[in-house]
Formats: sequence, C-alpha cells, structure tokens
Amino acid sequence: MSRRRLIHRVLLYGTLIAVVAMILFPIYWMVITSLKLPREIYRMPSLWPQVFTLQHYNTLIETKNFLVNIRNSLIVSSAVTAISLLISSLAAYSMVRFRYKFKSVFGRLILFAYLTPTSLLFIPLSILMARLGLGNSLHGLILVYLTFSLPLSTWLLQGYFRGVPRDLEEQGMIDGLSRMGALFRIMLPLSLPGLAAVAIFTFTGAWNELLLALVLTTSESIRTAPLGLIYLINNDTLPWGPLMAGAVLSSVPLMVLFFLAQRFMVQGMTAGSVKG
Amino acid sequence: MNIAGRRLAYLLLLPELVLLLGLVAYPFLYAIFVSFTNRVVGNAGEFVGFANFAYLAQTPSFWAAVNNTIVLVVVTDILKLIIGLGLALLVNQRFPARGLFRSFLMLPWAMPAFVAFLTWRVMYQPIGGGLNLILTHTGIWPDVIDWLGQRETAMPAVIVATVWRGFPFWFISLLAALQTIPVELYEAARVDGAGPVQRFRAVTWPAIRPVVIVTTLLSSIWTANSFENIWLLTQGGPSDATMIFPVLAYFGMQTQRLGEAAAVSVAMLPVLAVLVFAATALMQDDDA
Repeated sequence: MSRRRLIHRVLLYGTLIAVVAMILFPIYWMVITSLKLPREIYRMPSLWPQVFTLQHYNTLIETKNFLVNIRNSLIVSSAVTAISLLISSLAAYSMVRFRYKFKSVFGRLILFAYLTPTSLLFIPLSILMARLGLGNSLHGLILVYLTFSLPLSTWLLQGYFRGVPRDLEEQGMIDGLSRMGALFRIMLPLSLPGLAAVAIFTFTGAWNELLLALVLTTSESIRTAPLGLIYLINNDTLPWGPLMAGAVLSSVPLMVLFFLAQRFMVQGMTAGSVKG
Repeated sequence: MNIAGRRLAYLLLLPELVLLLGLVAYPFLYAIFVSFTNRVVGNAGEFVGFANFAYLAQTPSFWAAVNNTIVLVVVTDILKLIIGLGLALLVNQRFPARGLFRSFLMLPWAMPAFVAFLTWRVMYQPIGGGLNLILTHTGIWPDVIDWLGQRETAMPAVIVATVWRGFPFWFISLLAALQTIPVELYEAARVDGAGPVQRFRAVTWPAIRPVVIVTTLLSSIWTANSFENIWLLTQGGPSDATMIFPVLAYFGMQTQRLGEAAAVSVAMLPVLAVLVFAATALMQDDDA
C-alpha cells in the first residue's frame, strides 16, 4: 500500500513539474531574451546568456518612448476601472435589491452585452467615434472600453451583492440611512473584496485590449502598451530584444497583482462568470 | 414596492442602460445595417442587399476563415478540457505544496494576452526562438523549423499558444466545481464497490457537467472571436492558413470597404447567436 502511495506521489509530482516547466519556459525565454546581447539572440542562441545587458530596456525607453505607452495604458485602464465600478455598482445594486418589471430582461441584456464580441463591434464603433469626434483620443478609447468592462463588472458585482445579507441594510435604514446611504455605507464596504476583484478584472481587460486600440488610434503619442510593442515589429526587422523587454515591463505589474489578489480573483471568477 | 423606490431602482440602472444601448446594442444593429450597404470610408454608400455576402462567398479567404475557425475552436476546446480537467483532478487531491502548484498553473492566465502571444511569436522563431533550441539541443528534431512560416505547422503552433494561454480558465473553473462535491459521495460510491472510472462517471461527471457546458460555450465564443493570438503570431498567414473572421474583418477595414468588412463579422452571427443564447440561458440566475 505505501509502495503504491509512493508511486502515486512520484507520478503526481512528475506530471505537475513537467506542466509547470512548460508554463515557465516561455516566460523564462521572454525574460532572458530581453537581457541578451543582440548577437546572442540571433547568432548563438543559448539557454543562459553569457553577458547580461539592459540595452534593450534602454532602447525601448530612451528611443522608443515606451514609458509614454505605459502611461497611456495606465490612464485608460484606471479611468475605465473607476467609471465601470461606479456605474455598475449602481446598476447591480438596483438589480439585486429591487423588484420591478423587465428586470430579467435587463439581466439578459447585460449578459448579451458581456458576450457580444469586440470583433463584431469594432467597425461600427470606429464609425461612431469618428462621428462623435472622439476618434484617435484616449477619451474615445475609455468610452469604447466600457463596452466590455461594464457588462463584466455588473455581472460579477451582482454575484457579490447577492451574498450580502439584506438585514444589515434594513437595520441601517431603520437607523436613518437612505437607500443610497445603505449602498455606499453598508453594501459597498462589505463587498470590498468583490470590488477589488472586479477592479482587477476590468483593469486587466482594458490593459490587454488590442483590436479597438489598433482601429481607433492613429497618433504615436496616444498609443497604449500593446500598440507600442506591435509598432516595434512593423518598423524594425526582428526587434526581439526590445520587444521582450517591453513584454516584461507590461506584464510584471499585472502578474504581481494577480499573485497578491489570487484568492479574490478565483472567488470572483467562479462566483460570477461561471455558475455551477 | 412604493413608487419612489421603483423610480430610484430605474434611476440607478439608467446610466448603465444608456451606455450599453449606445455602445453595444446600437453598434451591433449598425454593423448588421452596414453589412448590407456598399459603404466605404468617407461615403455612406447605399443598400446592396446580400451583395457583400455573395461576394464573400466567392473569396477563398472567407472559406479559409470558416474552416480555420472551426478547427481552432474545436481543437482548442478539446485540448483545454482534457488538460484543464486532468490538472484539476490532480490538484483536487491533498498533497504538500498544492497551493504553490495551483498558483503556477494559473500563471498564463495572469499574463496579458498580447504579452503571451508576442512571447510565443519569439519562441517559434527559426532565429532566436526557444522552441527550436530545445528541439535541436535535445536531439528530438535535428532541423530548425520555421513554425509560423509554413502552412503545415502554423495552425498547430497557433493552437499550442492559444491552449497555453487559455487552459488556466478551464482549470480554475473545473477545480472550483470539483471542490463543491461532498466527499461522502465518493465514500458511498467506494463502499458500493465502484472503481475510479465508475466513481468518475457516477459522481464527478454529473457534478461538473454544467460547468463544463458553460465553460465550453464561453470558450468557443471567445476563441472564435479572438484577435490577439492570430494577429500577433501569424496575421492569418501563411497564405490564409490561420485566417479567422476577426482578422479578415480587420483586413477588410484596412482596405476601407466597410460594408464588406462588416459583412465578414456579421456572417458568423447565426452560429454565434446560438452559442450566446445557450450560454445566457444557462448563466442567468432568475431568483434575483
């Protein structure tokens, strides 16, 4: 029996370690490519760089102004997150705590909006933004990113709000709070882990977005991080060093965030988007 | 409920509703409308009936997109299910360092998609790519392969990268579903003399089936409409070997013929609508 257990353990760890190695290798390759000299990237590829260099980071930041791209991404993602959280908290609260006609129709509409792919919307949205005079601007980008961030955050927040017991708000309202007071003083503080998870989801959603940014942006000065990297490929031949340096810079903050908030994220994802 | 309360309820919903009608519903209908016109950039054009669709049906790129989308969706769904479920079953046991492994298995999901696919683009390169280095050094395959540059290897390469980035979503969803199964059920099945396979069929599968169905629907919708993976790896090439609808629509838009480009997206609507209706029916919670 214990021999069987041992074999079982060895197989278990062997499989998991093999899978983790396959997950980590591309990430490892991204990091070391960003730190290799060009001759080591192109002429004599190796698993471990002989010389470590920060020259690609320098190129990216000094001559390609990548920090401007990062700044644009930060502005857009933060604004989208703040606006979505505010508007979707109100909507989710309305749908969870009130009873009225057509509520299930609204619920369905939000789900439809969540599942309507960007690939279907990018052409009409670009026409619409041009007409509104919001094409090629960060404001326009923030507005169109609400198409995917609003339904997602409303959907997730509904799940969280439903988990908060009604009695607390009712008690607060007996003690003199208004409905809005109950939302802002009781519901939102109690849903803080949920709000944090939703904030991270909407932030990363906006941070990752490529298609709409590609279609709506023409000026170099308002390119977001993914666009900054794509245009590296278009302009140079095989710019793998700077490209991977940019990949590292754009992913490290998000991956740290995920590791810190992992528990909330998993709860949020399984409570909201996929129901049992 | 009193009238003031109802008014407040609608008022709270209003900003969301206005934005979703303006930014999703209206553009959605507008896309369908544009697909029936010969609109180009700078000229609204006129109604042309099904002409754009008839034209599309004659282009090889369109049929390549149809085939590739089916292959990409079906193969990645199956692989993600097998890998995600297999790993979820493994990690659902008790063993030391389980939390650590779980974190590592979620890592690709935490990476921004554009970073993941740019990294895979570099991984696949004949010059400077990590995959060829591993294969030649270990002697598994002696020759350097241009993974993304040949018709035969481009789609498998795209599939591998897409699965790499997408399986954690399945893993987490299925692990969460597995954790809701009471241990007593397994014990009862064991007392009745059920082996591992029977236990899986009688206890595990019925419990996780709803999650598998919803995850498959969501994943199919997302994969059929994914842009980053194809655009960053192959841009639909070589010679349409990895062309899919969103990339074809984007190319159409670059030629400024908006009617035709919109028709590309709209052409996939019937199938998409079925998937979306099925998913929303399963996801909506009516007790609300």
